[in-house]
Amino acid sequence: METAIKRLLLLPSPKTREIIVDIVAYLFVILFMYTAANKLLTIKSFSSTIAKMSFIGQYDLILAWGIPILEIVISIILIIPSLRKLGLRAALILMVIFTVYLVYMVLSGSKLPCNCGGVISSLSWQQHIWFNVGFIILAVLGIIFNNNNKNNLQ
Amino acid sequence: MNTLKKVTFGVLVAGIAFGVSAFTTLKPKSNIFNYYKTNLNYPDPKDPRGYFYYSSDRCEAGGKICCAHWDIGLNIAPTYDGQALAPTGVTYQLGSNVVGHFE
Repeated sequence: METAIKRLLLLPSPKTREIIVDIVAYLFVILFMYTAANKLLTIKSFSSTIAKMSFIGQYDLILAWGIPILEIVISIILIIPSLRKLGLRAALILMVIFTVYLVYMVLSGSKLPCNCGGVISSLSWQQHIWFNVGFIILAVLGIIFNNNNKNNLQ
Repeated sequence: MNTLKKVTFGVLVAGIAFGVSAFTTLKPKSNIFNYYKTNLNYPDPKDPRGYFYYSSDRCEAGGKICCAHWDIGLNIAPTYDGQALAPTGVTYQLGSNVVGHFE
């Protein structure tokens, strides 16, 4: 089974895999830079949204500044090809953290602030989770193809 | 693509994404403001009655209308929380209403 998956993932040529990794990295750059700008430019509103969330509400100011700054740092890492592996892993971890928190909030029946801001402000929390899952899958694919290419080169 | 081209393209993509976001976020500052429907005796999102200005996010899940963007035209921009939306000379921004309810 594992071999079959590996074969399937090795199916595209090294050049195609490289292009896929590039596209995944640029998609993350677009997502993170777009949402970071939105959060930074509406920092007051973003902070008040976080303040209403359970567990993290007390750290609203730190998170309101920290999350967009982290997104920008990850974007910069993703832009640099030699650091792309690190960037993809950081992006994956960040998306997993966001998604786990979203799933917890939805399943726990906590009060859900409805204004998330940014490109996904019009999505419901459930749609937001699926959106994140899509990006998690992209990050995993990017990491696998990036590793495959490096292994092939060695 | 060589490394330099990739970095250049990445910077370009990042700049465009940041710029587009900044443009769309800051654009409403001209004369479009977010008003909250706090008086549900007027449940129609397009009805200017029942809308009040709050600078921070005051929405919670559950409910049909929490807030919407309004172009206030020549009316004076809101300066403090709790200020009512002017009944005339204002234009509802289609599709801008956020579901939920005022906290």
